[in-house]
Amino acid sequence: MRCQRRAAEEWLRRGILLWGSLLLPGGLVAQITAPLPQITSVYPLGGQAGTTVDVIVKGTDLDGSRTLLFTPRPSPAFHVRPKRDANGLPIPGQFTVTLPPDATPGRYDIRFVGTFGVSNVRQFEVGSLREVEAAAEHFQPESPLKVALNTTVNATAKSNAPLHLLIDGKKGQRILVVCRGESLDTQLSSAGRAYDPAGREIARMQDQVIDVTPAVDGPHAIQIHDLMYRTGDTTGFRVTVTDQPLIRIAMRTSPSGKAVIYGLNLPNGKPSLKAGLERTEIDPKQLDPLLITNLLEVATLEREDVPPDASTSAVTLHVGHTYGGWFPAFGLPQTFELPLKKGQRYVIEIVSSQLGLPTDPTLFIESVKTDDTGKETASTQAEVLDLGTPSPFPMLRRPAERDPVYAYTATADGKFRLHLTDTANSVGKIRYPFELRIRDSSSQPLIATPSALALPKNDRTGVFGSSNIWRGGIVAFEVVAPYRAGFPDALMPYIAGCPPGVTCLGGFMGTRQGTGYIAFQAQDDAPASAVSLADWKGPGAEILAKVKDSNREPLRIRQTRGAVLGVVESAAPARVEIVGQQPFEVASDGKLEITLKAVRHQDFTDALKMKVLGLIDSDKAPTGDIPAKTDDGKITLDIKALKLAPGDYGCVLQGTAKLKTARGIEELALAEKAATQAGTDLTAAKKNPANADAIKKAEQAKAAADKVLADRKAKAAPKDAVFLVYSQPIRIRVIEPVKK
Amino acid sequence: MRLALSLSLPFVAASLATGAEDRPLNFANDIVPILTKGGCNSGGCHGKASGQNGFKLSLLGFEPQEDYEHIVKEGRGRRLFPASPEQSLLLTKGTAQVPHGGGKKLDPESEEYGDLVRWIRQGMPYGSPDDPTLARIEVQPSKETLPLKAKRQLKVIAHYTDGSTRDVTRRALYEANEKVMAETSDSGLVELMDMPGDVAVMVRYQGKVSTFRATLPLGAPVKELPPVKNFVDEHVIAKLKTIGMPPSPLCDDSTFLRRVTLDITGRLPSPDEMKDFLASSDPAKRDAWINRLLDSSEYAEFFANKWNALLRNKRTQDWYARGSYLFHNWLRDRLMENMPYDEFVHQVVAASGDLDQHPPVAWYRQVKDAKTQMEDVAQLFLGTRMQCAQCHHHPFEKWSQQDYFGFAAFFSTVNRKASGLPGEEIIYHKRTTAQIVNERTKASVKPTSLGGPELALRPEEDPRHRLAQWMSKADNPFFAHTLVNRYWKHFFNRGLVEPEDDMRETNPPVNPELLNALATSFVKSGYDMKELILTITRSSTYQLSATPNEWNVRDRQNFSRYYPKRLNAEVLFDSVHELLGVAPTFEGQPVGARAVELPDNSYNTTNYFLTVFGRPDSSSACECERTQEASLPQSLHLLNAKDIQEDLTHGDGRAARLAADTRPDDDKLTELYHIAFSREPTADEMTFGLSHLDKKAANKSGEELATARREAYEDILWALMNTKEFLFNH
Repeated sequence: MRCQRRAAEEWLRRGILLWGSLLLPGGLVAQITAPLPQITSVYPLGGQAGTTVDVIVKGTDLDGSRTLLFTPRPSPAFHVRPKRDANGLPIPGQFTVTLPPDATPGRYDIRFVGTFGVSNVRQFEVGSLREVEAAAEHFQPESPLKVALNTTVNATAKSNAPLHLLIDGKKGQRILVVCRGESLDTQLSSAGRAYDPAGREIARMQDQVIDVTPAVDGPHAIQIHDLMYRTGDTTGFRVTVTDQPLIRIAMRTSPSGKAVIYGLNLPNGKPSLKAGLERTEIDPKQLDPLLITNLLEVATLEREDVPPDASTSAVTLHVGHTYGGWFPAFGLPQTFELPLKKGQRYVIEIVSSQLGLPTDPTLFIESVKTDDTGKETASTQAEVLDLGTPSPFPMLRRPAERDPVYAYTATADGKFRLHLTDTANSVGKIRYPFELRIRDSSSQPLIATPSALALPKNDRTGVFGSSNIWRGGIVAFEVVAPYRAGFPDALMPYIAGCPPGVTCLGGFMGTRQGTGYIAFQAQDDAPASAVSLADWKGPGAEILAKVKDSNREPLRIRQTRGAVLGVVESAAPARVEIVGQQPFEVASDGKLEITLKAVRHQDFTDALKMKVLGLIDSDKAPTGDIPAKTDDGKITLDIKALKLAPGDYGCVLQGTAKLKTARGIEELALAEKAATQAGTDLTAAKKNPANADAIKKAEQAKAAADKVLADRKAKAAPKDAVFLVYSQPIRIRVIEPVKK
Repeated sequence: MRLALSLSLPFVAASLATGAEDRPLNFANDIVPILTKGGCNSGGCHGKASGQNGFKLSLLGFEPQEDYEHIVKEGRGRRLFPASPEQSLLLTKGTAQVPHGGGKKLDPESEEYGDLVRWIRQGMPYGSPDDPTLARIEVQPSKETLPLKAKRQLKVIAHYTDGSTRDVTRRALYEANEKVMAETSDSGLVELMDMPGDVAVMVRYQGKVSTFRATLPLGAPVKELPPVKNFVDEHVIAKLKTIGMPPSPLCDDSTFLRRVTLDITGRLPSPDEMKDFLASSDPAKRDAWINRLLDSSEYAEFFANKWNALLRNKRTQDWYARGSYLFHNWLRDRLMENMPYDEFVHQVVAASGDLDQHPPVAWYRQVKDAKTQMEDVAQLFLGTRMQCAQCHHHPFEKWSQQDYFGFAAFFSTVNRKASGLPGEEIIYHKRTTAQIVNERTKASVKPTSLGGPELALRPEEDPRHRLAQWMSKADNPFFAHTLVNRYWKHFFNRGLVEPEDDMRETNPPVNPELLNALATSFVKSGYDMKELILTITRSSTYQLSATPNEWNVRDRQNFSRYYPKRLNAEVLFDSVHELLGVAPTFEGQPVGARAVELPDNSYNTTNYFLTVFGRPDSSSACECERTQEASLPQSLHLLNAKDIQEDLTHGDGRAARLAADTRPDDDKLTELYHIAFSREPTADEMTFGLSHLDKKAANKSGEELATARREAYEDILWALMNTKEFLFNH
């Protein structure tokens, strides 16, 4: 079934940035035990186009390996097959991936798809260079891995020793050693050094790159390690040794009509203090192919046109324009002036840190009045440090939050004076670029929520929610529109292009609210699937995975390459339908009683306690009950207590439900096969009583196999699991109270 | 009691020049100094914040207005009795006529008592606004060369704003900076001891300070002098000639190699390095070796370890680990690339952003407010301790509370917000007027450099940049001097000013010409830290033998010889492991990582060796956190601690390897001396070692012999490890 397309089209066109998550109040998160595939590592983290790669994903609930889902959809497609054991059974988490010779190089989001739906996201890089694997011995200084130029090494920090590489350096030849760990969603925070043949340190890793120009011919040692020497599967990385250029920043246009690139080892590159990189200009048509094959993601801006002396001479801004420039040194401001026209809406957006640049822009806005004599008086309008809007992850900070946005509707003609600074780089000579956009609505790219996100405040290793929907169930996502400040109209988010058998129930973001919900419902016979929501134009956002050493590392969130929804081919415990014609209209001093109807799994008969999400803090949210063994219930909303002013609002209801669920069926089957084989081997061994050793070994093998089988049986026995249950979305129109 | 004794003495100095009976007394000029001399307003008595038994005075009399209120008006004026001044509580307590916890402070026969009576009789005037105020004090003589055991009576002249002067010798306070060289009396008599060198006597009066510097020559013939390699030698030799102290000769190559390698890289030279160095006949081999050490990453690691502690890179929370590593790496890398010191300091002081963007913001984790930030900067980079001036005028310095808050105002716009790292913060300049409230006057103070004018900055200007620019000006009297003195101490175990971070007029350097020359050279070099180390270590002064001659055995300040120093905790730990041939393991570090490479203080709690030998906890900007003293627990630890024993007897350790080694024993013993001392064993040492091996092996065979030989090597290693020659850099 296809989702219906509704008024969300208009909303999408308006380009409101969405950030989404499944809202799981802290108390609930801790209780959720429903199966949810989560991958903590992928190895290797990439492969060369035209080769076949054995990919191992590790994590939890990886039952029933079906495939690996790559987004954006590769063209030509990658061929993915689950690996099977000698008995033909799929080995959990192991796949064979064939990358076509003409596969597009670059990074892909990768997700595991299995019995319990689609997993969280990680990354997989398709490269054009030859690839090798580092072995355990290469972490010993006496046995380095010899690496030829233009080779990528795949590795995982197996011990807390550095990976030792040896390259054949030629005097004067510039070599870049590029290490991707964190930037490929692993925990490895890259660090490393290069040594000349005499053992002298000659270069250190900065921003994932060791930049070496040997002074003599000979073997040069390279050491790569995690900043804190952590080890384990979650510390995978890829190191590329290359003499090719590396781009870090690109501007698509400049006053010369050329594209401008900044990076290392650039042909005709001239040293520039900007970002400490070299600069060169190229034909704009050449840029995109270069960006695709670049080893690191490139901060790409539209233009470089703000004069460098704007700190002393203000640049006049115009609505609908994008301006690109460089922050002045020492934290000094770049100054702009924005003429205001009464009634006009202005959205001032700064784009810098969200491009991956290590910046922290601050926007200081002055309102400038001019008297009859032409004398100007400036007063503070706003100081915008960050996004400053509600975050679904209050304990986390996202880089993008550092880019300020300010929305304003002019009440009179006048002028704003903007002072833009980068507070993070106020020492030293290194400067970074920014883009300033002046619009009448937000121009930020749309971000969807492919995966549910939520964390209890004090537990950074908890369950992060799911982007899966179980048959017959409803899943609701929170969406956040951080740039809606100052916009009074309600929004109705909607996603088309859902998986087969899934309907988008739409969503709602209330008057002046920055958060809302969007819900999906699966049919009772929806087939298992995991698809990229093609209609969702922008990227998504996910927490990457649990982190082991939560005290040391932040949970990282990044924008993903498209949103994904999975369908689990098992029935959800329940869903709650809303009875009655929506929107429900109620006076701002009145109460609204809503009738609820539960649609239950046959094995689920418990009471449902449903809490309102989206109108008030979850701690204070009203609840409605559906008693045990019945389908009918109600919830009453005291609008006055909820302090809802006249306007349109939306919410969903959320509760928990317990249902017996079996895990590890596939592993059990493997164990059964192994135990059977061990029994057969023992029988065969006993046919030769003279070979006591063989019998003994076979007995030991049988005992071991039986033990594994017993463990797997215990694990696979159905156990109570706690699921989240959602209602259909509720829309409410609050009207003025009746005058008495 | 001190005042009581001194005031009862007959005058030894000229009496107060204008002490005529009819002269109207001024409270600040005439009365407060009496209280200060008597110790009444000291921190242990009525000068403490809470006062004493209901009577409070400002500390050391720095706030006369307040003191006047307390004495004259507080308690309904009960402390003074104008009708009968001698019956005033102030006097009956001070003379102990009524019970006084502080004892007798005034002699009724003394001039000070008379002045107090006269002041009360005059109606307790505070003084006229037109009265002169104290401008400065002058010590006569200010500098003199005196023989050992000489005595010198000082005279202190107060100069007032109206140009008048007064002899205040009796009411000034005296204190020698080297108590082993001079003693002072309350009356200003300086008695010199029999130790040659320089000694300074600090003189304080009414918030002003001055010094008397005495040079005590030994007077020995200075004939044999080392070659002058650079200006360091010129200044040191000039001083040695002045005081007549012949220096020790240059040390031998082995000693030099071990000394400079330990001092620059914090490690022992390897046997191969030793052999190559000793075999070289290149006359410039010492200079070449210094260059090689400074080019090595081990230099950067060792000095990063030093700065890491001073810049408080401390893991007070588990989640600080990432930031600690980042900041430590940043320090190491900047030292490796030899970032100019002024830029290095600028990057720390004006750090902004988060830890990933700019790791020096880690410094701001530990220094939370503007006052602490300023105090650390003043102490660490300017050698000036401003802490006292927060609450009162600095007793030994010219800094007032206005100076304190004016300097703190450079940090008044530092703001914080949450960062992506859990528990970590982003540091940024908040766009606002830079100013801070003087806690005493409640008035706003704008950023003011020490001794400079108040600055009016635009809101967008981060005042920390102006601070960094002021610090690194070539004529800044503190910045370069502090660093060169700090590094001098690193190499000589004694600063030109001691302590190295308490540089003030009243604590003069032992060789001011040398300190100035070093600072000038450092500035001229572009604040090149490696160049400074080259200058110091290439000098003959640094390369003098630690063995004293008959003249300089007691020298502690003229650098006539090298002063041995115990290896610091991390270096000793690494050296012990090097000698024992066992790779240490630290959590979060690769096997074999050196202790000098550890990123923060967190290892102290799990490593008793580092704790007992005084590895600093990174809790302050003071070098004094690192303890260099030897102690009984240290000796016991080396002698019989479990972990040392485990390393000594380690299956893959040096003893085990040597026991299994088929080379002749004298080769193996020689190797141990190479590792431990960078020299060949003497014939006696070799004989003793071989005899010990023979004795242990006597009458044994097979497995028993193997065990005995291993134990014998363990014994020898243990003995070498516990020698002073091993434990000290000499």
